[in-house]
Amino acid sequence: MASQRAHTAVKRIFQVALGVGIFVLAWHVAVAAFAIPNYIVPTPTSVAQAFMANWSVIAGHAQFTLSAAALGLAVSTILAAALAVSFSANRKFEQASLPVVLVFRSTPVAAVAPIMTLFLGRGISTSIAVVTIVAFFPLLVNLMRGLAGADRNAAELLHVYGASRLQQIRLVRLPYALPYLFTGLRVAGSTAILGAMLSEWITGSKGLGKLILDAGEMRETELLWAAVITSVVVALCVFWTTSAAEQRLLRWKR
Amino acid sequence: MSRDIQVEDVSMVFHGRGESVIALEKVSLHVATGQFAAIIGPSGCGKSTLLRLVADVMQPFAGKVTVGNDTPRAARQAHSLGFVFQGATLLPWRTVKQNIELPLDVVGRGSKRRSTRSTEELIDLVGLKGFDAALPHELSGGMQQRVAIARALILTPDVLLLDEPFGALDEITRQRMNLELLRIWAESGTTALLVTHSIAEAVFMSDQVHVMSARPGRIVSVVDVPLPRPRRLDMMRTPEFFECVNRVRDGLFGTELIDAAPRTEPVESY
Amino acid sequence: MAAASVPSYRTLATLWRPLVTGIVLLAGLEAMQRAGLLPVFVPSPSQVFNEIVKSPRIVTANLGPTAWKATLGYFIALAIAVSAGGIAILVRVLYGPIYNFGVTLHSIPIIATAPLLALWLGTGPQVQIIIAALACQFPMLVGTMQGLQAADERQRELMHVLSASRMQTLRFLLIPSAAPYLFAGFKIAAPSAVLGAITAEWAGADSGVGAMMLYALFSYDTPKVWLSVLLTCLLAAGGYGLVALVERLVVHWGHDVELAE
Repeated sequence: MASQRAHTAVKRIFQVALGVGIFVLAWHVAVAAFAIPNYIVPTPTSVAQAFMANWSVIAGHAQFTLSAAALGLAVSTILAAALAVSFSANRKFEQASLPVVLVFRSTPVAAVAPIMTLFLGRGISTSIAVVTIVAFFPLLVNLMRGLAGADRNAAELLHVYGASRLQQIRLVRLPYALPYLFTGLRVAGSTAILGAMLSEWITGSKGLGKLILDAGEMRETELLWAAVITSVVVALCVFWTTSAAEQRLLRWKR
Repeated sequence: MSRDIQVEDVSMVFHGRGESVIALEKVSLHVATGQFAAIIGPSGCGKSTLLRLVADVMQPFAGKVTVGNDTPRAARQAHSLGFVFQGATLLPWRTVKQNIELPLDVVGRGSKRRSTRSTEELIDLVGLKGFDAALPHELSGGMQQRVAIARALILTPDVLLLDEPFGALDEITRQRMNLELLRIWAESGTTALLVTHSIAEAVFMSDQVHVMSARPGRIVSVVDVPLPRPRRLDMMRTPEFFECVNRVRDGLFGTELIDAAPRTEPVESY
Repeated sequence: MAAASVPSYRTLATLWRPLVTGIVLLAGLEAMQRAGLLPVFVPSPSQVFNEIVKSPRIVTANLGPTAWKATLGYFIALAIAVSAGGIAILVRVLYGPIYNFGVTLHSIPIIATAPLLALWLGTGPQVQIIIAALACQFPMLVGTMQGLQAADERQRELMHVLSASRMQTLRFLLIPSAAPYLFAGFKIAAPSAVLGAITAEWAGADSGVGAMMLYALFSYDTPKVWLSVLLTCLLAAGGYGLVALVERLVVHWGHDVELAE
């Protein structure tokens, strides 16, 4: 069982490596074959060189984006958990405020970012706030689902056994809600990176978004590609770690 | 134009992860034209698989299945099979009338196979008058299953295959539905093969009960039911009925019955 | 049917509460702003409304381009995602690659693609259309893939026993059972297309809500920033609402589904 999982993991890594390899090769061949000028599509080697040469710059910017995303996610998780718990404790409160929450849910990042810029200025705090807001809704929705989703029968069973409220929460509610938290984190994770980069773009504060925009405007194609690839890899890593965590926790559901 | 069902030495093997499961081993049975036969057995004995072999949903690993003089495939392509699934399997976007007429949409409205009864008459027959325009989710489980039966009858099947058609219903509705099904079956004169895991239902409905055992699935005994037709619920109190029930039970449990507590008169409920 | 009036009454009841909340919020904002309790960068609702009255052209000149760019991108993505999803279901070998390609495209932060596309295609509307399409393809792909597999085993067996042809199975079973999933995807995708178009406009566009927003932001024209934000929300919500309306008409059997996100 465990060895099989390890086997599939190895297989998956191999597949990904193969995919990346084919992609890089195809990229190189295409650039060479069609004699595509460097300013349109640079060769993989020149991008790699740009990456090496600007390693510390890219890492510095990536660090800003990642910290904004992580901090925002953390704040958002705390807020969403608090609201979800109070919703599940008080039906009236939920009825009154949930529709308002849902209206705000459909607010696109493109609308949140400028408002936050007005409020918080052009620093990393805007990025954190934007991430907090965009990550909030998927987290809230999934946490609410998790808290509501606890099996009635399981709750009744514990009640029959005379379990205390705390025991009920520990034994039934939390184990049910935890995987949903990770589902929420997975969805929120990818929007968090996007949100951080968008706000860096609009505020012009340090981060991958700004780096990409600057490189684009300066026509530094190799650096642009290196930054774009970095951002894609960062986003994919966030997606993969959160889905892996989710899948581990959700195993009992199938 | 009813046809008989012939199953000869049929074996079925499923290949799982690294291991093969023998679902059916050398199973043979014959249902004569116009008869009502039941297959009973524990879960996993392959009874549904057997039914699906007759319906050409699956092909046997070895052995032969014939419907009339044809292969199941030819019978299916001639639209001579009616199949009622466990759970009504209605299409949720179609009304009762549209669901019943689904086979007509597939075969063509002018088909020679089309029942002489109109859709309205069929709806009437299964007791759903006034529900023509209802959607499946507006109906109870029993009503949904009746729609499924009407759907199976709109093309006058030569062979009616029933896969635990009332398995999901409560006991009371189930007995009513069984009576209705028998009435409809008697009127249409088709050959019927019912899969069930209720002993009393199997005996009450059929002329012949094929008892199966699991792992590997094989037929362990065949019990003829001499009760007269039409069947009435009070026949379930007769000694003949109990005799058949006991013989089916013997087939199902074999020596377990003797090992267990002293045998008493069977209780009427099942 | 008599029962029909009950849910409509209920919708009304669930509607008035948030409506009241909204009106109270707006009135409170107005009062607070007038009392000078709000920071300078929060205009009163009436100030924002005044922007429209003052120059209605700024609304029409920017709303239109963004709307059609988003719409065009949306339909391009729809056509491609639905075909790709269909192919993935028909040709099993391609299922994994198509899905993974969709995931990868989806994981690329859309803003990362904007400067690249701008390098290749200039700053014309085509860049914004492509980014709108990129931003909204994934839910539609997932909806198609999930929807075409939604018919259960028994329903498929039913079609098989009836000897339905492939086309008939598609028409009578697969497409109707996919419809709720398709629309679930289409609905999520609509605001994403708007988001894509507007973000792409940030990277450089002559007109559009995104361009207006950026310009207002850099010139500290606070009411105009809020107006552009309002227009963004309006476009996103409008797109969602339109698709939801079509869904109501098409998926009339009231089958609600949720996509695996």
